[in-house]
Amino acid sequence: MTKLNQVLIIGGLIRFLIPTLLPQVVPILSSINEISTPINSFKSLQEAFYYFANGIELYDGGINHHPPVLVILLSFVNDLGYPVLSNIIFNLIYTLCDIYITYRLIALNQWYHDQWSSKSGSNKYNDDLIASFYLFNPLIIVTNLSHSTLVFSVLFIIETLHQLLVIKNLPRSMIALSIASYLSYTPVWLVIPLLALMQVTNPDVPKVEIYGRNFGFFLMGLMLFIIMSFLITASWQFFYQCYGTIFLFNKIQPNIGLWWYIFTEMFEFFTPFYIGVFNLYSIIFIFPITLRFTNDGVFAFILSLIWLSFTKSYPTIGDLGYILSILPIFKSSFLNYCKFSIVYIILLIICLILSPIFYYCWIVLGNGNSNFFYSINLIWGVIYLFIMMDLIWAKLTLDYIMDNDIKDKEQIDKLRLTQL
Amino acid sequence: MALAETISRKIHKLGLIPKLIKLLPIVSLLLAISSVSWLLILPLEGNYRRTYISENALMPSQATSFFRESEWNIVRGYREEVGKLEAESIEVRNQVIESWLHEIGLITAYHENTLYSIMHAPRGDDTEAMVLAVPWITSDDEYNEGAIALAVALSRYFTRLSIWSKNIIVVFVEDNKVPLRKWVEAYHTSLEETAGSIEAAIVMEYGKNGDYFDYYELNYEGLNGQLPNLDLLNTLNLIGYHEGLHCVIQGTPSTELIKNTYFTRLRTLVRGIIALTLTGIKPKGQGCEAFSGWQIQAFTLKAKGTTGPHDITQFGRLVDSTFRSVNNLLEKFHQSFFFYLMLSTKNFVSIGTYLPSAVLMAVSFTFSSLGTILISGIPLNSFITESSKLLIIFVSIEGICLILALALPLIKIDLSIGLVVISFLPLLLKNYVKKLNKTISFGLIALSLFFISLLIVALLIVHFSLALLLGLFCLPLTFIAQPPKPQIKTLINLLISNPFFIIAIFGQDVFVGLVTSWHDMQCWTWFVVILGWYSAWLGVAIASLMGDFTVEVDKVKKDQ
Repeated sequence: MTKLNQVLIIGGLIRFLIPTLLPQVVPILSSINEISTPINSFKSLQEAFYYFANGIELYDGGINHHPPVLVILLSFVNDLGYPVLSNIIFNLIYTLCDIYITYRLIALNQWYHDQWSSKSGSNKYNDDLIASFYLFNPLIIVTNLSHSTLVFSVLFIIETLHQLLVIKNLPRSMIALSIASYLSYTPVWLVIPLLALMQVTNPDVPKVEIYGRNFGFFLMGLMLFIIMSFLITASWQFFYQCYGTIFLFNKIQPNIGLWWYIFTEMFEFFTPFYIGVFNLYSIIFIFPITLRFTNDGVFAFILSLIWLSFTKSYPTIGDLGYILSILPIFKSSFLNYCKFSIVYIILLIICLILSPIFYYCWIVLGNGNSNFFYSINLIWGVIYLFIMMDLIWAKLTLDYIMDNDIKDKEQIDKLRLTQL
Repeated sequence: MALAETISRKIHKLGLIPKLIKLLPIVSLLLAISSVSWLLILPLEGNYRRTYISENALMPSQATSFFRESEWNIVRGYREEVGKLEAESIEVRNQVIESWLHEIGLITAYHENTLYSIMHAPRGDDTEAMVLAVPWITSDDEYNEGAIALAVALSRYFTRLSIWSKNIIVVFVEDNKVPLRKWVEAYHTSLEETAGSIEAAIVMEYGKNGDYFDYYELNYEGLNGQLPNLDLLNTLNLIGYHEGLHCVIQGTPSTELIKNTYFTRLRTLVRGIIALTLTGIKPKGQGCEAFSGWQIQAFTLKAKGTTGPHDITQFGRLVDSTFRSVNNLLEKFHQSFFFYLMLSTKNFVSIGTYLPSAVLMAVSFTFSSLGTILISGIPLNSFITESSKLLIIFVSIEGICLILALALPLIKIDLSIGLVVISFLPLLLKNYVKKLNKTISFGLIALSLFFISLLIVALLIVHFSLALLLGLFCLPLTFIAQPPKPQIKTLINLLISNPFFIIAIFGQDVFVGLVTSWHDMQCWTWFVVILGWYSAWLGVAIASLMGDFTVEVDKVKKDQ
């Protein structure tokens, strides 16, 4: 058996056997607020199944924030009549999603290597390592075991890249992104770096066609899903519940993000201002990132993805987990120039330990307060900033080396760049 | 950014980083020393603060307590009767007390052998309560005659006041450790007769002191590093001050009631840290720790001395006035401090001031872990290639510790000396088993030290005392690998950092108390000790006793 297959089998078994043998794991994990939020939790999805099966309006009561098409498709699995069988099929679906993403990442890794190895001269990670980085990442494992719907959203984002870069099918790539956007709103902004990436990877196609046609595809895909949802539910309530909640920060259940704290009662007066600023903040940086890094469109895309999960209204630890597992793809180019990884890895470990402890102090023991928990959220934000700074600096270093055609290894080691 | 860039260039130019790496062991030691010195400077003038009442609603000693001479005769009467019950069984005692409580007009109920009465508040919405708990035996193994009599007399007195807006529960319990804990747990889970969420609890001890006492002692440590809100303690102390009573904490002798010097403050601080760590583990409980974990602020009051100028009703007034203050609260205790260290009854240090001490300790362990790797002279890549092996070894050590963690509480015998001996088993094994290679030896030590540092970080806020003591006891482990020492020194370092050796020093009761503390009191210190401290110790011990360091020493010497 090849190493890759071993990794896939073990990774798959972890995801399938644990929730099958210990079904209580799923509800426990899906109620931990670092792992899942009201927007993507499996608990609220199950609530929605119940509503659907009993003919209650899907979005009554404000508990369900999952888009109707997802609820209805998955409710077919839920309504098999045998709860045990349904659970096993759910476990299987989630396992297969992660295996599918792994395959896509391996292909992307190969593609990226083909693009860059000649220029940078670096090696790539082997397929089995890429698979291990993804399948054995504890953040991704707990997200998967909690059956968070984040998994589907990530699947379609990765599929977007795969369709564009490996299969080179632009319309399908756009449709995949529209599905990801339909599932969780935030990926909608990835359309900007994606269009730039299309232009870079398809220099022969006229710009009008790239921007016009493909953006059209994206809009059509999105519209189709939204109209479909409207037809299914016969009201626009879903739009408010699925996207309005994200946009307006309505659910202030604590999460590891930066914003929930600002929307607590204390600052109520400023709420409209904050809504405007935070939404703007999460969008506005996509443009400069895309413009600056168009020469390596994938980097701009991933950096935008990192930015979006940093400024998201309802992030989970899984968001960071996916990013960390995608990054090894860049081994072929600039990853060797990242310097601070040890700093943010230690910060990450400390955050993961302290976050649940502080939450416990606040909610259970009552001797802490929300500031304790929020302080860890701020450190979580610092980790994101470190990662982004490190990546950008590494990328710029590589660009400098390639622009000046420095080949000598010793010279590269001595090289110290300064920002002026 | 420009400043950071200038500094980083300067550091690079001077070659500070390689120099710093060579100095890492010393830096680590200096950090550990500064961690301890940080504690030592806390009792100096200017580093601590004076206590104050933060929650205005409490208004301590603003109302006159009428529990005075007129009630004294009633207390005496009850005490006379309670004295007669000393030889009786708990059932008989409970029956007598219950009949008195019924006479007063209170509802009573039982949980096992624990009798409790509920007085529903004449005002208020019947959702909050205060608890007065009285054990039949004090923590000094004395028949708790005075306190039982006081509790009945106070119950009678409380019913005649119309000002209560919180229910009052009076608990008569066999012993203030396990039975009281069981009652608190049952109150929140299974009891039928309840009176709402408990805001504050007072445990009262007044043995056979007679009518008079000298001063009172205050205990406030909770389980797992929890402390009651400082406002509650301040309220009590202010009330005591207005009554002209002296208060002692942390076993201050009666000759030093009003002494407040650097050394008394330091002694109180150190004793407080040790007491907080041992709460729930010591065979005798204080009582107040039984209320931990349910968001209840609790303390224990003990009357001391028999000749003093203060009479028993004054002790009752302490309880009455504290209850009246708590009664004023509109919200749960949330002002003031939950994390503090007392230096005297009137002085404290808050978390922001004392926390750096444990943080320095954690950083010290991280540095010595880094130092172990960087000074070993082994290329970093070989650690990464061996990482899976390292993890497997560490996980199997954790597995062994987990088995011990679950098995030892079932045995309940003091095995500490035996466990110390077993801990050094690798010493015998090393002649028969293949030596670990250099990378794994150094890697395992580094991993164990890093693990301790993470453990300290995790405990930093929830259980500062445990984190600090753990760091101190584990400190010898950092000297083992850098540079490798002759075996006898290694052995001494290992011995004095072995958890069971230290437990054996603390006394034989501590071991049994520790292993049973989770089952009896839900105190998780045992798991920290065995899964955290002992597993890291085993990691270092296995690496240093069975590992390969000799070659490395030669290499380092040659390089120099």
